[in-house]
Amino acid sequence: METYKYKLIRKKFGKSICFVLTILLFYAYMPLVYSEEPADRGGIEFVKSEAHVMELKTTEKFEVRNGRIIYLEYCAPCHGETGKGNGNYYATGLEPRPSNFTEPKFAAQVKDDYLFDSIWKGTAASGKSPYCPPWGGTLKEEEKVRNIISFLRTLALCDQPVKAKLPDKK
Amino acid sequence: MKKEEEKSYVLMYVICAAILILVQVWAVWNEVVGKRKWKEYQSKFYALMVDNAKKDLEEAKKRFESPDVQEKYQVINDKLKKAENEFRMSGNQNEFNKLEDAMRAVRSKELVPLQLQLSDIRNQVMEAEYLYTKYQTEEYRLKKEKLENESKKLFAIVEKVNARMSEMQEKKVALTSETEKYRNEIIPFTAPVNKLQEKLTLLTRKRPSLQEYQIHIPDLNEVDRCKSCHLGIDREDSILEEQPFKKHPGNYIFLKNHPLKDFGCAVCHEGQGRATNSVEKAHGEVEYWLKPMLRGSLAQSSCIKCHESTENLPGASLISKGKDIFISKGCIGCHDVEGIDNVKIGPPLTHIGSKVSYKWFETWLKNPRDYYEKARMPNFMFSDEEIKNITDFFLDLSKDESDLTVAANLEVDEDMYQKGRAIYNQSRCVVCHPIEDMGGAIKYVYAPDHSKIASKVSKEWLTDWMKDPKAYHPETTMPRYRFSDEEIEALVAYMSGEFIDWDALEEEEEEGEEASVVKREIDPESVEKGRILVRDYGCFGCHEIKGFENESKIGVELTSFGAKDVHFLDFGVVKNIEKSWLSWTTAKLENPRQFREGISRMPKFSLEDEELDALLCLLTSFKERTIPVKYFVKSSAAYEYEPQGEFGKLVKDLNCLVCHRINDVGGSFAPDLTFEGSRVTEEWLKDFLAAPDILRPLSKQMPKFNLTEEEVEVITDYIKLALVDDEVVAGEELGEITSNDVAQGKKIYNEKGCQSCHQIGLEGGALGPNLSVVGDRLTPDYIYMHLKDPQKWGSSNVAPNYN
Repeated sequence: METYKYKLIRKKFGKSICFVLTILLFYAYMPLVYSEEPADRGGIEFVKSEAHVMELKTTEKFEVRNGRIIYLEYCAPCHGETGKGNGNYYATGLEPRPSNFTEPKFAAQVKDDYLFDSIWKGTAASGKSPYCPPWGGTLKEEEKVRNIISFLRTLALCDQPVKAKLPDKK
Repeated sequence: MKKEEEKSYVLMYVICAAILILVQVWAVWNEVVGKRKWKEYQSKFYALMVDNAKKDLEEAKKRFESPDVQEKYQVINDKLKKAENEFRMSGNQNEFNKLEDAMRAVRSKELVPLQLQLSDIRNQVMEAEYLYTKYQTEEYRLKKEKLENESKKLFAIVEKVNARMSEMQEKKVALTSETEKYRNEIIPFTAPVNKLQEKLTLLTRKRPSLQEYQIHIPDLNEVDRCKSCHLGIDREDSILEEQPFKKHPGNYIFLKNHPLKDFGCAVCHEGQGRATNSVEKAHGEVEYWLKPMLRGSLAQSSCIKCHESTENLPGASLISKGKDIFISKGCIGCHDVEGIDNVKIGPPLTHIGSKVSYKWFETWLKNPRDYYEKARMPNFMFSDEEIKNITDFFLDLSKDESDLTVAANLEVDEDMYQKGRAIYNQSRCVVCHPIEDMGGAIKYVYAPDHSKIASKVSKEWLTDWMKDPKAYHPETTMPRYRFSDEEIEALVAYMSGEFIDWDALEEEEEEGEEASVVKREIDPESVEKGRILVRDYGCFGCHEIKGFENESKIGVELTSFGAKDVHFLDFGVVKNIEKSWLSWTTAKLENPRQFREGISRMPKFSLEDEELDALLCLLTSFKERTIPVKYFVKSSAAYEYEPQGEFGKLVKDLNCLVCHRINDVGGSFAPDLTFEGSRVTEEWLKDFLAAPDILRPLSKQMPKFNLTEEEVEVITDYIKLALVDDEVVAGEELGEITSNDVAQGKKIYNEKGCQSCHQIGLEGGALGPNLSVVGDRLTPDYIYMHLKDPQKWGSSNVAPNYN
């Protein structure tokens, strides 16, 4: 009776040691299994595993895209689809002429806050001609105006005409 | 063998203890560093917040310390100090203190005991009242009255004490009025700095608690922990223009209408929202996660999950463009998709033999884009043999054995030509039909280019078409102009002489004239081959063809294509692209037959980059809807508007709703007519319908439809009765108009820059309508209401709101 009990205890002990060791080994082995993952991910940049990323090739920031859509509807008639201040036949008689946004000098000169006020409250509010009306009441969202400014900033960077198309609506 | 109690287990215990300690250390390390990346992001986020607050504070301080601000500040500060000094010196201070003491004394010695007494008496009154209502005896009534009187007396005394108190208070305020005034004046100078200082101390006072943010939406069966890393996602402005700290762009559309707590992130962006142990895993961009995160504008593909219609939906431009392309390129002709209606976008081909020449048909089939750059029909890459067979089949179908002569005519009568030209211009054909890429202002309407049309169609067909387009093609968007026979003759003469394909003519002359007139024998065998080809390539998907009414679509159903696993996509012989859904679909759309040459029948569409992106976005959205019904958003049109009766017939006949919009149905090219009846005067409307005058720039003008008087009457009546809104009433606010008002109005008109868009006389822009005769055109009520809120009655999106 005595011997039997002792044997049982020893058997159990060996088993549990084995169990713990197996688990430990398993975890020790894990990094080897996932070794294809970049082990070092220091800093805040992360590495994309390209094949599984769902992203369109032509990535454009939302701010710019949205700005363009709004610009084409509200601003392009006078300032032109490429931002040169040569909007169709609508703006031919205006004096002073609508601003040319592709002019690097112009872009360097005006600050975002100034542009914001001119669009939101109209050019008359900044002491210029009253021809550009206040858009605040129509656009209603400040972020829309900020998006327009983001888009305008992209115009000045390049001098070549920007591909700008009106979204076809039905 | 040793006895049990003599054995030593020290070594065993030491090893176990060592393992235990190691595991402990390992667990702690994992918790703090290894698998808890978001902790790093969060601490960085809070550090950035403190940095920003510090920066703001420094800026505010700088602004406060700048010379001109300081100057003003000092002036007020000096005044304040002087006032304080005076307050102290003149004995006001003592008086102030005395008053304060006196007030305190009155409050504690008189007011408080009195109030106690008062509440006691009130309780007694209530008790007496209760007893009186219960027993209704004289005794109780007297008692009640007595108590009431007492309470009134006591109340009067309290009032007196209160009056004394407020008197003292007034005196106190009067004493300090001077200093208080300057104190208030100084606040705007010091407040920003103080506020920022407070914010900074609040931020730095205690260590921010790092915690996992979890959003659970039981209705959607969705859990996501994205905010654990993207801590600034729902902030007003970005703390840093870099992920994961950036705010969500376009929040006035997205998070404002879809609050984070009700929708979470993964509903729109997918990915593995529960995972927090690595960036790739959380974004689902690992091999066996089936829903990788939708980055950037691809997330728009989720709009369709809830929104029935994406038309004009803000923030969904890409997917709504994709849907337009899917329909307008005729994808639906071959591929069934649940929720998209079947439309045959091409013209019926049953009688094509009476419309175009054999030669043209062949040129067109070879590659439609060679003939016309903007052709909608894709390139089926037919062999010459196949082209011959198909052409034979169609000519046989329309029972026309000979080759018909095209309308092109080099010797038209000059008079007729000039007459036709005038009608052509008056009818504004160019608004829809471009001529060598000029014109065609309605982008969403496909109308053939007219520049080579006379060398394409026959004279007879052109005449019939002009008489009644719907007789040939019931679904056409071309309106029926009410031309007289002479007018049609003149128009056909003009078009025959003007729109000739000179290149083709030259070629023909070189080949000799007989080639074009020779009668063609149609071989029945070739016809039979053509029939098989038409069935195999599914021409009936886009064209109405006699004998193919009951065929089913030839392409794969795409209803759940977006959820198709990459392992089910056939890459065939193509080896050099990534094994992913996106690259397969892109390759398929760019060159459809590359995977299995000879088996695949999909034609080549020559998509532009933007069109490709839009289509990819739409295809991504083709997944089964798993969203509960209560999340669905119906399209803005409450019901499908369809005018009835005489007016309805006219609207169909003239295709008014191709350009105009009524009750959210129709095109966006011309003004929305939903409230037209409240807008314009009856007389003007009648005149305009009979003979449209110049209201807008040439490319936007309404054509002259040659309506009869009765037809004008019907339209005017309907508009005046049905298309109105009772709210368009200026009422009392718009009184009698005086000459003074007119002068005032003129001044405002010039001051506000109205002339940059509107024309009066010869001056002004042409974005808005010409206002020269606006008084005759619009009702005064409407002008008034329109100026108050230009967008409300849908006449214009662009008109600025000055209020």
